[in-house]
Amino acid sequence: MAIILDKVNYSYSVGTAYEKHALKDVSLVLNDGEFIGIIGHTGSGKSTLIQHLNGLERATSGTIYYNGRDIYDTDFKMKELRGKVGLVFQYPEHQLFETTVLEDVKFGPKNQGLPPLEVDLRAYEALKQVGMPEELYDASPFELSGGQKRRAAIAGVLAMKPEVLILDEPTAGLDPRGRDEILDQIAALHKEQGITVILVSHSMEDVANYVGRIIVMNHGQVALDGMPKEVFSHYRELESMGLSAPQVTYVMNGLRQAGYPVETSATTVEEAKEEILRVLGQGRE
Amino acid sequence: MNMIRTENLVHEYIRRNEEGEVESISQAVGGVTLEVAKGDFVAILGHNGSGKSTLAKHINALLEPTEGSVWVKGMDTADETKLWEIRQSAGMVFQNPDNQIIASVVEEDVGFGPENMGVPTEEIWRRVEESLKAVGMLEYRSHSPNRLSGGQKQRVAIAGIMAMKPDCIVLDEPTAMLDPNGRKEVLRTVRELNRQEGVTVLLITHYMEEVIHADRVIVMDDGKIVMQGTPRQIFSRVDEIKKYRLDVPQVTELAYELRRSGVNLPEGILTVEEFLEAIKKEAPAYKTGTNR
Repeated sequence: MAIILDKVNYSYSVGTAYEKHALKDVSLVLNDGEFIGIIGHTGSGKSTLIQHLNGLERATSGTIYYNGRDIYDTDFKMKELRGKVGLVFQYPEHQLFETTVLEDVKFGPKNQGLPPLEVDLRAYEALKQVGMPEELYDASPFELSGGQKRRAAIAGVLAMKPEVLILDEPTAGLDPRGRDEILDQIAALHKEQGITVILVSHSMEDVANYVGRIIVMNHGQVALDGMPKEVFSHYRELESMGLSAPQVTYVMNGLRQAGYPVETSATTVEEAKEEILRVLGQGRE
Repeated sequence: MNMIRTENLVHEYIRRNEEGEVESISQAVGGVTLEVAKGDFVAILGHNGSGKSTLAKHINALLEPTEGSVWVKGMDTADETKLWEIRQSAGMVFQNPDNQIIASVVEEDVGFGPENMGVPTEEIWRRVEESLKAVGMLEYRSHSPNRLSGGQKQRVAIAGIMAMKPDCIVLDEPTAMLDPNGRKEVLRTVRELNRQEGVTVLLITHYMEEVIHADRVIVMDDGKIVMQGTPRQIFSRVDEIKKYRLDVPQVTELAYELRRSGVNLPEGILTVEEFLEAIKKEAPAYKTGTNR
């Protein structure tokens, strides 16, 4: 089962001076259990794209299938889709509003009409999943640190038990450790619960360290789609789109150009280290 | 003379309940002594909650010290009669560009500061043009700010500060909400203002790559200065940096890891170019195996 986009187009402000064709013939298959990174500069259409995946925006033309069913069918229940495809917006902590962290996390499942006991269970489970310290469950969301607030907001989406979790720049504004903690937690969710994760990010290093597949958006179209190694091998092309590759990609290509027989595909520090040691080691024997 | 000087600066946030009784006191800055010379580019690193933003707010007198003192161009920030002069000398740029732009046309937004200071109209227009030129936004002078990208908005915000002719700019995570292109634009603008106009810069950021061009890096933790030095000195201490919840640029980390595995590379490599040079010196390409 999967989310399938078939020639999806989206235009807004049609007929005015601000008319914009934000998505152009986007066709994608997002498989169950994948960990996907979406990159693209501001205005490339990545936010518009993810808003289509849970029905917040409606395609001007084209079809989206969720587990084989056309989500634009009249008898398709959009509300159910929104429970199954959870979307965590940018700066989600701005959307916390309840008196306690626990109440805030309960809001989603409560709205889904679940019985109170189930709502409680889910809220506790979700808070545990994001690693929220127990003594903060009854704290006001506004007393939390930036990283904790973000965890609370993610827990609020997880409590609805989504099959697909979409996060729009979940680490923006966090310090490096906070960033790693959130991303590690998301990676664990993906691994342990088998949940599909779609991560929108500006950080090439983060994407390279975590995801299995990268989709590059440019001018409303899918420009590149593949494993991090494949996508980052097109680093010149990425630069022309206002993006870049991780620093180590430049190191490996620089070494290659300087005559070192290295494979240039490394996208993480660990991979680069292994490859450089391999090549240097050979020279010493 | 120092542009900025703080002596044993302490700042406590005091929370009171509805009756006005003290509920809790948290110390955000705990005894910071700091000197920034005119024309310096100083970067401040530190995790969320380390006190760096609180420190920054003292420099243009948005906050008053609980203990200790802050001087900007020799003026004590506790001296209320100097408030305007201090804020004019030390301009501040914040994280979210949308919260800082007020006018409906770019040039009017940039002119707002000097207009408030009572600068004569003709001089305002001259300054608006100069500032927009300095940040590379002159061609957008008659545009509406809400159609600009994040990076462009942030440059307009910087132009608005420049139009007040400050001696010093304090930027509090100016690139946190921007994409890689926007970040580059803003950083380039800040560096040019520092080099060409001689503006003293205090840059607060979470992005390690942004501080490698600074003259000096200060690391804060728990309200105190815990590390201080040139970028190279700071990034040579990878373990210590990580202890403070921070990071080093990816290339610095790669060099560090290779050193630990026995490759003889110098400490504190900051850029891809430096890395390549160091490798060429240590292990020339012709000595490696599979090439032949």
